[in-house]
Amino acid sequence: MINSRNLPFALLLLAAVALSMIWPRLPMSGDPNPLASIPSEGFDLKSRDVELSELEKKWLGGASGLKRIFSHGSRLWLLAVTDGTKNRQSVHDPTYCFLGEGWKIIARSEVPLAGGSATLVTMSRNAESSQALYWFFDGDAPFASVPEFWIKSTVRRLTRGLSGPEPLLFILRPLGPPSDQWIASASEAAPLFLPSSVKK
Amino acid sequence: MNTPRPTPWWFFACTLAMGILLSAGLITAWTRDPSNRFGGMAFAIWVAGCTFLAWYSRPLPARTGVWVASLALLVLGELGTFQAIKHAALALLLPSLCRRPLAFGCMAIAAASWTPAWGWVFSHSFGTPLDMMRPLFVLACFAAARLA
Repeated sequence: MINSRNLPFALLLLAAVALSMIWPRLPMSGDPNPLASIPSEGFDLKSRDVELSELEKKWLGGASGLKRIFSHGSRLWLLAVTDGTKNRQSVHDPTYCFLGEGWKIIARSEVPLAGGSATLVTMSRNAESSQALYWFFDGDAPFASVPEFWIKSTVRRLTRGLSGPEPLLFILRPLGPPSDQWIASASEAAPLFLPSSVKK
Repeated sequence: MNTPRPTPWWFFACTLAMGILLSAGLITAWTRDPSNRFGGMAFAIWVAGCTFLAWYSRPLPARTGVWVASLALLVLGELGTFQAIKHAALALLLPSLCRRPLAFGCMAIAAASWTPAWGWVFSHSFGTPLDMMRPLFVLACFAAARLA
């Protein structure tokens, strides 16, 4: 079956299997717990952590997650941050989660945020309406693009962390019905949610 | 005179097995994610279509270059934990058994119908999931492959 003529194929297969098994086990450089560097308070900003439900923990599947209620002036927001270092598949387009919760996506647009950009999702469920703002952040500027997250997180794994830190997924939602001004105030407050070393 | 190099079918079989094993997450995507509805059905039609075309392509063509490229994509997808790259490998592997290059191309393109990545691109661009368009697209590609 395997002779000198098809030995290269056998070696290729062997190398592929060995590489697939060894590479993911190599140590990854970078902060092992980036969620710890997310500030819990700042100027006119206070917060309290919310425990993740069993279902949320199950969906994270080994990834790290954080849920925090922030108060900024008279406004209340729920911030959810996911770090997919230990399970990249747990970080995906958040509109999947909104659809899973029974929301219908009405509109999606990109808005400027803290020197970068975020995606604003407007959704409805029965007579209820809501909005959410989401962005990715890897220490440079927030970005809204899911493909950019795919590329950055893939290159990070291929280089075992040498290409840069893991992009975190931030989802910010107003508690209660969204007011017209919430995006403006969220954009203003967003730098306070980002790890302190990279505030813009 | 050189004797022809024997086709390493075991290499194809091992790469295919690896592709199926590493793409097992597809089942979760098709069954749990509303934007991937009908993906499983599209995949079943695609596999049946590729098998049918391969059956009429006997003796099967040995596209060793495609197989090696698929293996490279599988490894890249596994090391980068990027499912879409592994799906691309599977999308090339099975249609490589079609003898006519156009049929191979049609069925490789048809594979887009069952991939979650294409579902995401479509729903993100047009605001609506692919749904029944997935199996219909495979059937259209299969018809084109038959005519090729």
